[in-house]
Amino acid sequence: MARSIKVSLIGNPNTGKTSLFNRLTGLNQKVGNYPGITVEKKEGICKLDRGIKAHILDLPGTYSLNTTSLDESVVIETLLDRTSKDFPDVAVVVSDVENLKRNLLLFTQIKDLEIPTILVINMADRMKRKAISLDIKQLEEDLKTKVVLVSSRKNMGVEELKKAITDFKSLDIEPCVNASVIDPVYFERLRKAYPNQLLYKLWLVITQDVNFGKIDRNRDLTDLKTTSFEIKSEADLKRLQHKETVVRYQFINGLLKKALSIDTATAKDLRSRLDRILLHKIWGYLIFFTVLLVIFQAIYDWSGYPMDFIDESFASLSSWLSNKLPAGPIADLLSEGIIPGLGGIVIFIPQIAFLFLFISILEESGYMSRVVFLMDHLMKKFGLSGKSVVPLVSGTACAIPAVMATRNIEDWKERLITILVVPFTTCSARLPVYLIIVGLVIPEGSILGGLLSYQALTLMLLYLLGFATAILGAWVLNKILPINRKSFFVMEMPAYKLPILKNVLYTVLEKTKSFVFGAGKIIMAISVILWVLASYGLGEQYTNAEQIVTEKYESENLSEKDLNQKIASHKLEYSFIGYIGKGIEPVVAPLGYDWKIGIAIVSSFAAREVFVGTLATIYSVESDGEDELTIKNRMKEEVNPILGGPLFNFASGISLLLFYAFAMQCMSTLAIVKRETNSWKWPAIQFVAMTVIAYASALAAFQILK
Amino acid sequence: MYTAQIIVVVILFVIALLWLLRKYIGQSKDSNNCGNGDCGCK
Repeated sequence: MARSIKVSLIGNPNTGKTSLFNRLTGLNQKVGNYPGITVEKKEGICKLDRGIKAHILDLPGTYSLNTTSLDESVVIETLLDRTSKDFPDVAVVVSDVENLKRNLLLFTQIKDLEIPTILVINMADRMKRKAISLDIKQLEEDLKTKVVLVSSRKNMGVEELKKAITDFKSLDIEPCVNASVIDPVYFERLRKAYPNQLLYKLWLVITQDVNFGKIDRNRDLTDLKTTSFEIKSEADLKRLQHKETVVRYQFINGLLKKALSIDTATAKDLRSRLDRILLHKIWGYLIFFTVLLVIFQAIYDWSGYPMDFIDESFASLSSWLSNKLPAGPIADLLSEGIIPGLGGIVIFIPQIAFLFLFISILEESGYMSRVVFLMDHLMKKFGLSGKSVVPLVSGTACAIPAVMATRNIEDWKERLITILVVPFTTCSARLPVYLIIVGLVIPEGSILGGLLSYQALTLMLLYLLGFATAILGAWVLNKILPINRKSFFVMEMPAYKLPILKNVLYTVLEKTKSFVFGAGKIIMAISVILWVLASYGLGEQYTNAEQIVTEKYESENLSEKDLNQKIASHKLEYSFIGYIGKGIEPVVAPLGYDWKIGIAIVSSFAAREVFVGTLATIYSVESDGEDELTIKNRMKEEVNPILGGPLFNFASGISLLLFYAFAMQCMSTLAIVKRETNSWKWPAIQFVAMTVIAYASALAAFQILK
Repeated sequence: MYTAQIIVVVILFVIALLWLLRKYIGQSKDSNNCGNGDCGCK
């Protein structure tokens, strides 16, 4: 009969834990959240010998069981609650061969919880090049467990690991470090007070600020009060924790002295040589900006053809549906509402995919960590924490996970400032707006002998603008909300690696999927609402539109096509959405926009990328239904009703770009900020401040450039 | 036939509107998502 083994994959960040998880589970993965919190939960199934299946849980990366952040606390909660459905039969601790000393701290803590534990030493393929040799037998003897050398990149040792998981029952669960030596009297009292509990588990319960379901911390403390047990102060507990860490490192040092040797004379250390260049205070920044330029240039160059193909396909599909379906509201809704709206999202798949392809390659190669380190120097000058770099960089994908990523910032004020400025960084939802506007208003020429187009340069400047505004905003907030404490930024610099194609493709697929499906549902709903509001109206001007327009243009001898176009425009102007748009127009007209852009701005408050889809739907309703025009061409043909000339010209385009660069056009981000700050005060301040900056800069840009 | 199509469109309109309202207005009141106990957001 098939049997299932519950496996927890645990390890320090950057040990290749996720690569190993991917290697073990392949496509049998699912990603969710831990109940009640928004920490990502990755699970997967791995087939073992004898029909046994391993249910593998990839726990968040942590340096020790002395956790300081919410995602790290998930690890300890999982390991302490034996009644939890996630409690593992066997823990697999993944370590990195180059950072074994630090990685073993976590291993010894988990081993002391008397859970069958396997030590995986990952990146073993580098041992020869780095002249590292390990005495595995000695390690197994001292750590009292099975040690497996693995290279998840080269699929080395994975089968041996699977075998070790299958045979987990043969593993020794005896602790390898006796933690009670840090205060024998205290631990002896603890043991007497709770004779049936595991001593090290009790110690972790006492020292962690974690809400345990079954091992109720309050109950423990109540019991402690009824005994003669002395409750230690927080300072005493922290002192003992430090002592415990020292004891563990003493054990690890002694072990590695026997089992690990590195012959530095023969090591070909490319890493140090590369770091000297990539982290250089001048070359480092220059290389980073060059990398950015190459990325943006490639985004424009490579995605042009698939984008044009998608754009034309959706235009043809709309036209085809309009001709083939029996005339009526449903056919119109599909051809003028939903299809153009969805086309406004799907068109950006190539560029989003290329962006995440590059980001993923930079992350996988280890270069992104160097960028974070490089930026940390810059950040400190503006009063931001080094830990703010990670949310700011991840904000280029989406502000929502970036706001959640601030949870690892211990100091509340630093965390608040980071939360407030993160939405300035250019998220992927801004990309569709930038791309279409840049494509319309920035000339197609290039500099540097054709190497860098003006459009790519503008896009890069917009990204830098977002980042610079975030830093400047932090500097201002730092002055308004003085930070009392500084947190330290400790990050591990991962080794340089050749990116694994599979991991890169997973990331690209996952990010593109979430972009399309996340925005797709909103676009679909908004397209339906917009189409209804744009296709129906009340009053004489709407119901008698044909008669009014025909009489008005009677003397001009318009062709039937032109007359139909005029009637459609007139109906749109007096439809429900026309009235709403006209209400908004006085506010947006000074920025160079007409009422249709006003509607698109309002609807894109749900999600920025809705902007293009909204315009596509409105222009579709406005057309006479026979044109097979692409979104870009429709936008190009729009005329400014007040000033005349193209609506999307240089002045209004720059104004729009600046508006979207600064405006808080994202309800989901506001909701997350509310949840993370537990108050509507901060999202309200954020919304008002960002909208004022956006409006003022867009107004200034249009009035100066027009 | 035309009336039936109008009814379908109206139903779709209401569903879309309610879905958006529920998505953005009816956020859960879960406040268990702060960072550490001393993060300051409680």
